Formats: sequence, C-alpha cells, structure tokens
Amino acid sequence: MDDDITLKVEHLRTGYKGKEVLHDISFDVRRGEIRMILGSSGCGKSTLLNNILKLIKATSGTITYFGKTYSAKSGLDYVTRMRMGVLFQNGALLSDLTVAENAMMPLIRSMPYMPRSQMEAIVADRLEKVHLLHAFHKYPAELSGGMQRRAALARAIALKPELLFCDEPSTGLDPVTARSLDELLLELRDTLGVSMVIVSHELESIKIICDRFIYLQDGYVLMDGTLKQGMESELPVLKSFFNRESPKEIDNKDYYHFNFVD
Amino acid sequence: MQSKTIILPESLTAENSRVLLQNCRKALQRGPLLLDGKSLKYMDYSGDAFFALLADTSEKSGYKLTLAHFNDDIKFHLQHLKKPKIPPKNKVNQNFLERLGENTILVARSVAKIFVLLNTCIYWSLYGHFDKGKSKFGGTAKQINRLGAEAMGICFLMVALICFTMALQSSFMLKAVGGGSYLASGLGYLIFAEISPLLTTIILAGRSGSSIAAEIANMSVCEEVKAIKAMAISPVQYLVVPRFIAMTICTPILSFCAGIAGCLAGFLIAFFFFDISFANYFQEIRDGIPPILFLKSTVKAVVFGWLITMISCHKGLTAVGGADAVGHATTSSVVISISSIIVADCAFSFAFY
Repeated sequence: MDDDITLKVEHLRTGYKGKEVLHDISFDVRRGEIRMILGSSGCGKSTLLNNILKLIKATSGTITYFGKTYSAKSGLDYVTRMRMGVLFQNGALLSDLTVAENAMMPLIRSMPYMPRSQMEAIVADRLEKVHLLHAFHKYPAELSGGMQRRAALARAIALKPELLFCDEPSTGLDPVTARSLDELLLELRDTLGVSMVIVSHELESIKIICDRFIYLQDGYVLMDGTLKQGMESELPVLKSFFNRESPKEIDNKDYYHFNFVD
Repeated sequence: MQSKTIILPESLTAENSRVLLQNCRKALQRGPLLLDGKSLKYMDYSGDAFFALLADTSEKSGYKLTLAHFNDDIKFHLQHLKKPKIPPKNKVNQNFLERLGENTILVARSVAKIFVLLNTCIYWSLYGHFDKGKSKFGGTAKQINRLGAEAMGICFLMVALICFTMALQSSFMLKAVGGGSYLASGLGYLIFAEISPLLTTIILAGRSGSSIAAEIANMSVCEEVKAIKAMAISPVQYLVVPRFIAMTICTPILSFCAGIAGCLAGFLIAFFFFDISFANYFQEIRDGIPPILFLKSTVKAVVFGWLITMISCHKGLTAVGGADAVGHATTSSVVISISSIIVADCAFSFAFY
C-alpha cells in the first residue's frame, strides 16, 4: 500500500434492520490532506463516519488505517485508535469534568503512569493551540457552543493524532466562529501535519478547507474528486449543492389540474 | 347531470373553510360542482388545503370540479398548487405470537447483556482495578457519596417509619395474647431478614438507580458515550465500574444501618406499650437473631444493589434518541429494578429461610 495513504475505505456496505444504507463506498485519505464527506441531510455521512470509527459495524468491505487492514466486522485495536482523534458534532465533552480534565482523558488512557503535572502541561499546550487556555479550569456548561467545539478539538488532538475525524465541526455556529474554527483546522493541519476526514454540508467551510471530497447521495458515492472538480461539475445535484440552489423538479404530475372557466 | 354551484365568500380562512369544505365535498360526492370565485379576494394558509382536498374528492368520486370567475392571482396560485406526497407509513403487521416472540427475544438479549455487563464489572473491579498497566479514571469515591451517602437520610427515615408502624400494629395483637416480650426479637428478625435489605434497595432503585440511568442515558444521546469509545476507553470501565463498586459498598452498609434505625423506631413502641428497657430490648433482639442472618441480609443487599446498578446502567447505555429516550430509560430502569428486586427476594426466601 502507498505510504502516503493514511486511510483507505474499500467497498464498504452497511445497513440497519436488513436495509442497506451505504452501498459500496470506496475512497482514500492522503497524508496531510483534508478530505470531506459531503451530501445532503440523511444521505449517510454520519453513518459512514461511525463505520470508519468502528462505532457501528459495517456489513462488508475493508478499512485500512495506516497500512493495517480491518474487515467490516472486526473491532479497532487500541494502538490504531490512539493514532486517531475525533471531534463530535456537539463536542460531546463530559459535563462533569473540566475542560482540562476532558482533554486529559486520552492521555490517561494511553499513558496511565504519566505524572498529572506533565499531563497538565500537555493539555495546556493543546488548549493554547485552540486558543482556549483561559478555559483550563472551566466546565463545559460555562462555555459557548464554539468554545465547546474548540475544547473538544483540544481533546481530539491531545495525543497528536495522525488522522482527525470531524463530524460537522462548524454546524450551528455563527459565521465568525465557524470561520475561526475552519482556520484553526487548517492551522492544525499545517502545524501537526494531521490528515482530516470532515463531514460537513456548510458550503463556506467546504470552500475554505476542502482538498478533496466525496459526495454521497442516497448512500452511493456520486462524486470523488477535488474541490475544483466539484465546483465545475455539470451533475445537477452538485451544481445545486455548490451554487446553493434547491433542485427544481418540474413534473406535471406533481400539480393539481383545476378546470377554470371565466 | 347539472352542476351544483357554490359561491365562495370574499375571504377563505381557517374559520370559514371547514363548513364550506364539508358542503363542497358532500356536493362533489353527489355530482359535478362549480365553485364561483367572483367574490373571492383573499385566501389564508387553509385555502391550499381546501382546494387540494376538493380536487382529491373530485378524482375519487369521478364528478367534475369547475372553478369559475377566479381572479388572476388566485388562479395562478392554484395552477401551481403541488400535490403533497405523503410517504406511506411503514407499519409492520405482526400478530400476537410474533409480537410475543420478538419481545421474548428482546428480553432474553437484555438479560444476557446485563450478565455480560456484570461479568465485565467484576473483572474490572477485581483484576482490572489492581492491574498496574490499566488506566484508572477514578470516580468511585464521588459515586459512593452521590449514590450512597446522599441516600442515607431518606433510607433511614423510610425504614424507621415503616418499622415503627409495623411495631405499633403488631403491639396490639401481642398485648392481647400477652406476648409483649416477643416484640423485640420478632421485629429484629423481620427487620434484618426482610425489611431493611428490601426496603433500602427499593428506595435506592428509585433514588440512585434513576439517577444512574438518567445520567448515562443523557450521555448516550449526547454522543458522550461515543466520544469515550472513540478515545479507546471502555464505557463500562469509565461509567459502570465506579457505580458498581460504590453500590456494592454502600448497599449492605445502608441496609444494616437502616435496620438499626428500624430497631430504634421499634424501641419506642416497646418502651411506651410494654415498658421494656433499652438494654432489655436490644438484648432480646441480639438473642433472637442468629449471626448468620446478618450474612444472609448482607448477601441479599449486595445482590439487590447489583441488580439496580446493572439494570440502570444497561438502560442508560442502550438509550437512543432524544429527551424522551432519557425519560424512558429512567422510568423503565426503576420499574425493572424494583420488580427484579422483589423477584430476587422471593428466590432468596426459598434459598435462605
């Protein structure tokens, strides 16, 4: 396998209660690349992410992480998981722990005998990277939505992961906070050299951070390409997605036909 | 057949369209209908549904619906009125036996999962907890405080009041047959054999069990459990084990102390009704209770505590959805915990006494 590829998904299929929701998904992520999973709501983006993270088991297919291949049914080993970070949609910070304690969790898991002062120093560095050092002792409930997302990002990069997964990082944030989060992701990619898989449907974010993308529709990969290719695509769905137009379906059968007389 | 004509009012609103719709539909079921819209100038949101339903009725009955003298704006609007595409409901028709079978499988799976959870907890509490290579997240002391120490007051009060009532009611009968001296030993035996482990754990199921289920269910629906898994941390190790250890420690202690509180409450009756001194009362209790009873009572309390923890944690970890899932997990954990405690108590009565 190419050393440059950190993640490779091949022929992945998954379903719920006998109904297939993802059909034959294949794509790869190169080192230091921001790969986005795009698509409209309900197309299977988050399911795909959960499959890749092995939080939901797929039906068939293989996933290769850092050169090590796993079948659909197998779980992810601890060492591989420690090389990845995840930023969940709403941060998913543990509410009874402070921001620092949250960011410390992966450190406790991977290095149980590291002195707490050393862990605190590492966490302080990560919080500084996400511009949130002032919230070191604060609880998640004391932070705004954007700050919670940044705190979760600090937790996700605590172990300097090689692969970072983000589930709709800027959804629900105001435009200024969303842009600063996008810039932060770019900064992290450039400073830590981390590859990223980002699920999103925020057009502004996509235009700023995307290197390559896959576009999912009804559980199929409609397009796999660069942002430029996507923007220039003549596929009606992609045209409407990138131009922010709602698809217009004109079908006479959809309308009532009244008999008018004057 | 000649068309019936109905003249529409100046405005078609939610208030007047209901009766008008009924009349128009009745007319359309009997024959063709002509709606005269020369006066119609305004339609609110209900107007679209009014004309859509009439078009559907016309299609079903086969009688023609004609719209006459409508102004251009409304005409344009109606020409672009879309047919709503309501998807069919995915209703699975199951007969009684199929439903029974499915529910039985679900219950069996849940029981199996609870046993697996218990097994994992015992592993983490015994071996894993002392394995130097394993990460430790702590939290047991906090859970002892939250699930045990904070429940002390309500447990003692409830058990004491029930024992007081029980002693009062039995005192009348004992007085009638001259058996006042048996009050202390009888009451003591009953309290430690049955009342204190059963009542304490039922109160704990309502208070601490619901708190466990609600907290973990909320974490499940807010993706916190997923985040824990994504950090390669076992949710059982992080969330269940501290609660399991806390309940294992707290339940027998609370049960024993609640038993003492119950005996003290019983003493009030013994003192005022039978004039039994404090020393005599507790001497009789000590003589009436075989030491093995305390062991049996402790075993019962521990097992009941495990039932509460396992059921509540299982319900919390399997919660899927939103706020309603948290409520459902909490309610069902309390109901199932209390039911299983009572069933287990019956089984213990057969095994122990």
